[in-house]
Amino acid sequence: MRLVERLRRAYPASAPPVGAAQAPVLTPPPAQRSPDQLVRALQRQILQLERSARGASASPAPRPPEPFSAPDYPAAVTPALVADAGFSERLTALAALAASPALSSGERPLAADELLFLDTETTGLARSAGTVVFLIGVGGFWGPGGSLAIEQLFVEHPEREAEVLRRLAPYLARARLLVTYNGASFDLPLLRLRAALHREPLALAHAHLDLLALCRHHFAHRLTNCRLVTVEREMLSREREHDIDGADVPALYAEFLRHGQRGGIQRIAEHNHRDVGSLALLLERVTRQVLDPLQWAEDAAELCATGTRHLRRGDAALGEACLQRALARTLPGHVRHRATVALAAHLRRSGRTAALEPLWEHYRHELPHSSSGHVALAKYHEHVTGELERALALVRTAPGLATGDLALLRRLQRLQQKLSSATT
Amino acid sequence: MPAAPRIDQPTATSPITPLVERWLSGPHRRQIVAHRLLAPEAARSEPLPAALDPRLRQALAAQGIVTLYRHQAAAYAALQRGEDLVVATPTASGKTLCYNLPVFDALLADPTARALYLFPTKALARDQIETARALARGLELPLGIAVYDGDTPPGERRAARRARILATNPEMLHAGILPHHPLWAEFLAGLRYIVVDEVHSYRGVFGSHMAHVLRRLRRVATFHGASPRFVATSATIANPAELATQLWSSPVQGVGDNGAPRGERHLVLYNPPAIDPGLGLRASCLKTACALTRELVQQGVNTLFFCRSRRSVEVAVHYLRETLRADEQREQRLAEPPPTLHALLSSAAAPPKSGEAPAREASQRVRGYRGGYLPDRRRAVERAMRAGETDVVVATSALELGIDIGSFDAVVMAGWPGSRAAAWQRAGRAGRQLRPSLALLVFGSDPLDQFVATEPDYLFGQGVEHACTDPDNVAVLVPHLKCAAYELPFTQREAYGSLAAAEAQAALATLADAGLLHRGRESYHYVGAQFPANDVALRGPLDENFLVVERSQAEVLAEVDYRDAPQALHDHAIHQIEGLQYEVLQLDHEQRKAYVQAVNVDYFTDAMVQRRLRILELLQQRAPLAQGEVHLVERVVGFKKIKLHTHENIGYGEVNQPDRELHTSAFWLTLEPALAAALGCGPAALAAAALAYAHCLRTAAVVLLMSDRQDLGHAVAQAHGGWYAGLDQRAAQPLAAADPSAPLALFLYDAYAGGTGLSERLYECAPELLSRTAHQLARCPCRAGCPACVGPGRSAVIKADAARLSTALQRSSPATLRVVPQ
Repeated sequence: MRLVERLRRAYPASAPPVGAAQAPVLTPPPAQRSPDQLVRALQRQILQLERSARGASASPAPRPPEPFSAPDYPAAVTPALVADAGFSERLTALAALAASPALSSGERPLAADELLFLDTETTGLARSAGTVVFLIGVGGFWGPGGSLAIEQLFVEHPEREAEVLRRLAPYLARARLLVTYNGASFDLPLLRLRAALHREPLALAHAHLDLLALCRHHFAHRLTNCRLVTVEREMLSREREHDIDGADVPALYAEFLRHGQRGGIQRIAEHNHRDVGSLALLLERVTRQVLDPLQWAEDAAELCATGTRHLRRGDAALGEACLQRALARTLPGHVRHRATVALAAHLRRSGRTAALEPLWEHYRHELPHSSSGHVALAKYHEHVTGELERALALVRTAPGLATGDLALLRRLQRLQQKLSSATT
Repeated sequence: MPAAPRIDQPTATSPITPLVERWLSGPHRRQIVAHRLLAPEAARSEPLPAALDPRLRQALAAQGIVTLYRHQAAAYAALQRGEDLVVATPTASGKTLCYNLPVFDALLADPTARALYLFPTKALARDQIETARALARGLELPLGIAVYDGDTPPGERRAARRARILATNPEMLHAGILPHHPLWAEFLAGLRYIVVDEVHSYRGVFGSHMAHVLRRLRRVATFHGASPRFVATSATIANPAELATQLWSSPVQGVGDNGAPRGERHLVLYNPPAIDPGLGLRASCLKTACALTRELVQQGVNTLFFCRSRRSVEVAVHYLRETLRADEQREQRLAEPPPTLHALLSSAAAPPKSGEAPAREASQRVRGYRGGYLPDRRRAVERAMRAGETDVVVATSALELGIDIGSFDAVVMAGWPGSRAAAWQRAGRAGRQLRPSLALLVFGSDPLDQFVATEPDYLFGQGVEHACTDPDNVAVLVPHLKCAAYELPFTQREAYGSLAAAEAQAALATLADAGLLHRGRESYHYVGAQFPANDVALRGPLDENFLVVERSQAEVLAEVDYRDAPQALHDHAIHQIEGLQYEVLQLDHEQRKAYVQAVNVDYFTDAMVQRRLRILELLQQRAPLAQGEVHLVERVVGFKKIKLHTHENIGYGEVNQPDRELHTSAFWLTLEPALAAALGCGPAALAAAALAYAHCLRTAAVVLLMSDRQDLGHAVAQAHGGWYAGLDQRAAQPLAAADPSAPLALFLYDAYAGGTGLSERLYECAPELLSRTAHQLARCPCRAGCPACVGPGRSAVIKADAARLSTALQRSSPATLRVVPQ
């Protein structure tokens, strides 16, 4: 038998022949069923399922998909946001602080409409050849009066993906800063891969602000988790109703391709639209909190995280102020430790060694069971004040000595030797 | 007379020729059913190709290679001409260099060039890549060589993409590389050679899958701008070029003119003496093989001993160590060399040995090697083999593939290895450089063994087996079309492998109509969150191995295949590992563990297995033919305790463990009682004829489907209470409890769970299948059955009954099975 005939038999077309539409025949259930019959029926069912898992599923006829048009979203979906006068300035500062690659301070400040929010919907999470980017949501302040506008680029069929990537190009060309949620490890590499696969040039070397990384750094300690919906709920008090589960997205798209049903796509589009809107709201919120932490930070741990970031790459005086204020409050031990170490490094770099003693004394007072304070102070007295005996006394009282901390023992020995040679 | 080829080493120093001569003239001669002496062959060499990169020339010289064997030179030349090829020369003829040479030459000439090496197993990839690594070290050039398999740590995976030579296996290519081909863009763009080692492994359903994996690799390579050459190596099969052509979907040239030298080789076929000719009982094959091996060892002949099963490996290790220990003790007592068995019989003194190295422990002299040993133990045995520290290595087919363990002076095979190709492959392990070698085959009492013993020409005369694939098998084709569409959409007018554009497009359209692919205006796509590759198991579903755990130490001693576990690890089974005995205390099916403790007993165990089948769903039927889903159950009902040495049956035990079950699809023929009546034979004769006929039917089916014997199972069973109870040849009679009028059925079933589409094709081709079977029965010249027709060990009456059964079945079957669309 010819191959195609065998194929048709094994995988019959899912559409009933035209004009042969029939009412489904329902077989009445058997009056009595022995357990053995039941087992057989179940086994048959399992085989059937396995067969359909192998692919021979029955489904209605494929129809050409209807063209996609952006639905009218309820007002709540698109947040009413306007880029105000100070926005560009704040944005530039934030991009210098947290974008990768960072916007260098010498560059022309960002204009509000040089920002691009970006979120994609795909047929899978793997960065593999068959993961299609089928919906790209873009947003920016190019609406009337500098208000937030969101647009969506939809791939009607995978074979038109390249076309849609070309439509994305002008948005990218206009933008200088991309803002995404998890774009660094998902959306952007996948877009690059799709472009490479279609041999489409796609300029994606922008400065990029990944709000997931930012949220992880500044707010993770008080969030249930860092998923965008959680962040929306817990930080923006924005609740989603009837939102789709991300895991269902690929199947809904496949359904759309098979039967042209737009319902699923509308729901995905709404979900994507919300995501882009949330990006804008979140950016607004994050900008405020990160750039003006003394005013807006919600707890001491956030002050520490924000302060550390400013020390590293921004306004050092602000960073120092954040840390000082945070350290004066109650803090979890590991947060206090990290903040103290960061501040101490900053003080040393800027040559303010005298400030180290009160810093570490406070640490020793707050965390009496940690040896780090003792060691830091011992180093300070050994190298800065030259008070060897005081250094020795500090090491002798370090809590780690009792548990046989080898580094402490060595330091103790060395100090003793240094002291005895100094006295002779 | 042509002048004898010059041989560098004198044969006089080898004890093999005198020993074989003594066997042929002494008491053994009655048991030797055939002896062949293959004349030595001198090397036929050619100079290294002039165009070869001088750096490579230098590296080869450092390894002592200054000329090439003829087949190596031919392979190089063919590849330079742009041909695809398969090298089919015997074991240890330098096949590896046939591909390493052109690959290294290309890599040196072009810094962007890459090569992909495919090995059938992970272990082989890791073993064989060492040859390439050694050559690369000699070049003092940083040529990245990497192994990419399931064991490659995540940190090294990224680095593997930059490798110049990548060694991997079919599964990893199928599910790990092809779906992610954009990440491999640079590697694929530079791909110059695809090397497929041990290509004869890819036959039957596995081979059909492999053909598709290679088609997909070619599509993706083409996309990235490469058009790689194909180089395969094969063991001796009848049709290497045909097989390679099927796999590569375009013509592949065979290179088979072996230029490697060989010393003279004795082939000896030995049938153990009959103890009771009436019952067909013969002296134990394993014990006879051990006794002969002992003679070889006493003459200082380094021997490789092949067993048919893992259990016999352990029994043989035990016997040989015992014997050698006893010999050593006697030696110490007498302080003089012991007489050989043969010397005792012929009262001729054995030559005294002198300058003997200090005696090694028997456990070091005799080593076991089989699947199921943990990798560390295997590596240790391999090292000992290479270093020549062993006298005898007892192995299963685990050593049959090209694991490099050096070579041996003699190969002993305890029992027929199952096929001519396997017999020649194992025999090829004998022979070091130009020294004389021996391949000794000792027959067991199985019908197939005894058939070859009486018809040695079966081994010597005919060509070796054919290996085939059927990539057009729908059950294999469809999942791979989905994988291929996932990797790259199919464009209009695109052909696929052996499918021309028109046929490929029609196939794609069919799949799109069925909703499996998505049709665009000019292409076909696959859309889904999961890789379709995850749903395709190239070798059929592989279940997790069982671990053998020593209870008191909680130490893992070995692994056992899922399929073998019920028979090898049932409660109270004696499980042997390198000669030590362990009793299974408990088999934990859930955890896939068997808890054992060391014991010292004088018996081994042999599981008794019962099979039954039932029809779950009848999918199509034209009496007496039918096709549908079946449920196959294998149950270990008990075990026999068999005394070591005497092989007496010294007891039985019961086993209570879960059945091994298989849901699969089958094709079957029902023998209604009326048919039996028409043949005029009794129930017992009918059962015997059905078993004989089923053997022939299965052989014909394998050939018809271009499949492999292991892809298809067969059973003759009798209806009994809703089930069909399996009959076997040893008890070829209907079940005592069954209704005498209950029909028998002949089943041919897919050997993999869920089925692989073979039974559907058998049903479609049933008239052709029955006529081929009838033709084979009529044509076969044997009198009382042979492996080619009804199987060995039958009788002329049974063969005649089978032929009459065949005619009756053909007459009662429909002449055509026209497909009626539902």
